[in-house]
Amino acid sequence: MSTKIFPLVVTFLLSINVSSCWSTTINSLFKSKTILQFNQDLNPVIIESVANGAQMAMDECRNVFKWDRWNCPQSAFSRQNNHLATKEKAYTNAIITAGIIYSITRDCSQGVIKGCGCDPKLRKNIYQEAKTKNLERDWTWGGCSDDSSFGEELVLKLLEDNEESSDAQAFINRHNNRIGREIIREKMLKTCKCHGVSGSCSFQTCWMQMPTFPEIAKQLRERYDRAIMISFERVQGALTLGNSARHMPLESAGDVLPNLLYLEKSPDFCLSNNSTGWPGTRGRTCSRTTSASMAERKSCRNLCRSCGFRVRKQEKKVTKRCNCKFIWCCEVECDVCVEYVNEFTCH
Amino acid sequence: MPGTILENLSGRKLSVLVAILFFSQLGCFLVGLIAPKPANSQGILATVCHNNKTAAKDMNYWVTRNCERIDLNHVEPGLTADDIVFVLQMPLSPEMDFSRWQQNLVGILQFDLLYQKGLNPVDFIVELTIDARLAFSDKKRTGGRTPWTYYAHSEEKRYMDCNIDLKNIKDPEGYPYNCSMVPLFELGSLYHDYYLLNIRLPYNEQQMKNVDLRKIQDVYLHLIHMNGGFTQVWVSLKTFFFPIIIGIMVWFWRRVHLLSRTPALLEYMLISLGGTLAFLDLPLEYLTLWFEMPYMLLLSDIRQGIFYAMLLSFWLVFAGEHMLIQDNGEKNSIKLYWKHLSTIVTGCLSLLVFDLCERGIQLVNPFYSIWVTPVGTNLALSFIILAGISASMYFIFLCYMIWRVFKNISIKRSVLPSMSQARRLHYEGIIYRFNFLMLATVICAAVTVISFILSQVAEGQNKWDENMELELSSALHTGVYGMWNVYICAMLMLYAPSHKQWPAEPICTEGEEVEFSRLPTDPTPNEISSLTSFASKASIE
Repeated sequence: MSTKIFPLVVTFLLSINVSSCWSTTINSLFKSKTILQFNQDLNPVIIESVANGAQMAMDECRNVFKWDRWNCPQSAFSRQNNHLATKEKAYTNAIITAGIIYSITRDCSQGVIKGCGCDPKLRKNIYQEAKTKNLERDWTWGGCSDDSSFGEELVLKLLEDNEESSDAQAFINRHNNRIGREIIREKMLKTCKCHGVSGSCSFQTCWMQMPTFPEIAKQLRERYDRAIMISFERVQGALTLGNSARHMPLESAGDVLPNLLYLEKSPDFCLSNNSTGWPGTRGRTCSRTTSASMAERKSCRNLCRSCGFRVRKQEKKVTKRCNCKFIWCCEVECDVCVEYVNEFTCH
Repeated sequence: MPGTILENLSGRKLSVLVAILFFSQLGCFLVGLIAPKPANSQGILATVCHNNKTAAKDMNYWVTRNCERIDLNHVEPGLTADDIVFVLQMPLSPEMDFSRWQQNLVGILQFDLLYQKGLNPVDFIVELTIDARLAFSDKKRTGGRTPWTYYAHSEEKRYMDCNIDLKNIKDPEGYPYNCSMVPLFELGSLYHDYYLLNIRLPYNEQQMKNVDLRKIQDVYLHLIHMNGGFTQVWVSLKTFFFPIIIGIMVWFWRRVHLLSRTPALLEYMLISLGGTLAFLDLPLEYLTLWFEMPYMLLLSDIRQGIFYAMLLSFWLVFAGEHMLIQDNGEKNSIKLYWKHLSTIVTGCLSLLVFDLCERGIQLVNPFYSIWVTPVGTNLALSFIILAGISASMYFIFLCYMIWRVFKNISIKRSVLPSMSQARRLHYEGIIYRFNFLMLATVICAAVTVISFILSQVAEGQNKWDENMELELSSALHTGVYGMWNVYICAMLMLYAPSHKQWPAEPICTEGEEVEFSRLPTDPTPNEISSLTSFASKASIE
């Protein structure tokens, strides 16, 4: 299923301005029963939220991998690349999952999607309308829980319905999706407020604070850097980590590993590849700014020289804004400075 | 003179009574298990809307969620602070409305400020100026809603502490600052069905309004309300205990008046302790279902305060009355305890003043907080510190008195072997029961402290286990509440005067020095317990 939802979302994004095309596009692409139901019965607000989340994930992915050889192109989310279970695929899987949950949870707390945390039935069956009478009673009795569980369950429904098979690819897809689901919970911050007698702590109520999405994308990047290659032995139902002789039973392995998993080594991404549509790193800009992050500092070596390209330096005069002061709400008051900067490209 | 029921009750009856009390205690705990957790929170993300500057001067101008929206990440040029209004509709889901069972509402703001490279320091304090307006609306019986009506308005200052941990974050661009929460309002009664909050953050460089504010990514409002289920269980518990405590009080007072003497100090203390408990148990919460009572928070604070003050005073007098300072005639006067009781009075009064300053003013302006201005903070802190000092002085007094009681008892114990066997057994029993009650008090206090800590831990830990339907913190609250009810019922019953006469036993055998004279010439005829007389007799020697 996950192999289907991503192109689905991409297709949707391409036709985002023509929302009436949305249903026909999917129907023509996928005849899957779930998709049909998804398409017919799911609230259009939820569909839009899913699409926004996917878009946000793609944008943020590009941001995170700006200075790497693989720079998370839009095509990474489309159908063609899905056969290879590489590290990059693992990252895109996880961040799409996280993006959708993030977007749904946000829309829930803005009241755009209705009744998210209130109705347990809504969580169990996203296709059914909630009964207002029970809802009202539950809300009066015990309030609504508002965390990311609604989004999580929705994503689980959307992405993993058909992935119950036990082959290696399905296993790592499930695992990487789960990393994407759990990362939001992990990064949530708990905050409490006392409201007892005279404001004392005899009563205390806590809630979770959502992290920002760039934070999540960067956290996932760390998981990507520590991603583990596994070989999967179907006979034993166990997996082997890397080249080691360590075998782990399948069930426990999935729960234990906090890293992304992949099956196949990635190509080096230096040269263009016509069959996958990868453009290569020739022509990419790199940076030598000393104060920047590690990846950015090393980008020229990484993108150009280790691929056998030369770095071409070009001096440019740019006018920059400096000595800035922020004025609420929306202005940044700056001086204009003229600077000469070096721009580097792989050639 | 007859003793109290505690001394005259047979071991079997006592154990039956204790068993009944224990089971009603267990019942209180179990009833808490069916309740949801006491309070719930709801996080609402503010909708950023276009503000009509001229219309906003009118206090009856309300921006709702169906407005012209602004995306703070992509603002059109020329937009100023005055063009923005944050709209928060409560409760989150428009299908749902607040129930009056949910009692009260606390609102806390959370600002997500973004780190922008080269622009911001790592650590700073923002002085926020918040123009907050609150409106309400109700469901019509015919369907639909009444229009938004003005409820409260205020321009408040709040301080927010922000920092970012650059050591652990390699690339901070796009990360939010870790900012402290901003308490915004407290509503003592949740009378209306819907509330609407419009927040403006005016910018004015001359008046230093919001000059330190950074780029806002999101504004969240966290709402805390009591859970209707918890209130229902809580009020039923009160409704259950109220008639019982009234009944026991009537029975107790009748027993005291059957005696041909004026009531003793301890009896006065007991009946007033029962009275304050009855006041606490009085289920006034029912009235909030029909009337708007914003003073409920203040009232329940005062009710609890009076009860705990009375309980603390009772412990002092209880220990004192068994302490054997026998200056005749003065013994039964509350004046004797003025030194000790003044610590309670000071502590409670300072807490009351603090409470009136915070919650009293909130009756007029729900956005008010004493903690915002430095003067207010100092004032509040000094009252709380004063209360803390009084509390510690009280406990020093109490511990000293209890220590002296136990010391006296152990001295008397050493003379017990020289008594006749029947008498000795009898007094050993009394001492045992006295210790038993002391133990009960200590257990009650310990259970209260432990359950307080447990509820903090239970709420403080990350619980993601959705399958855990059992809600312990409510059970802890009802359990402790039930425990003090049971404790005071037990006190009233066990310390009521007994009808039974002393067992006809030869009173005076020669050579016995420690003896309870029950002669009419007894210098202290209105002592209530023979333990007291036993002790006082010994102290005279």
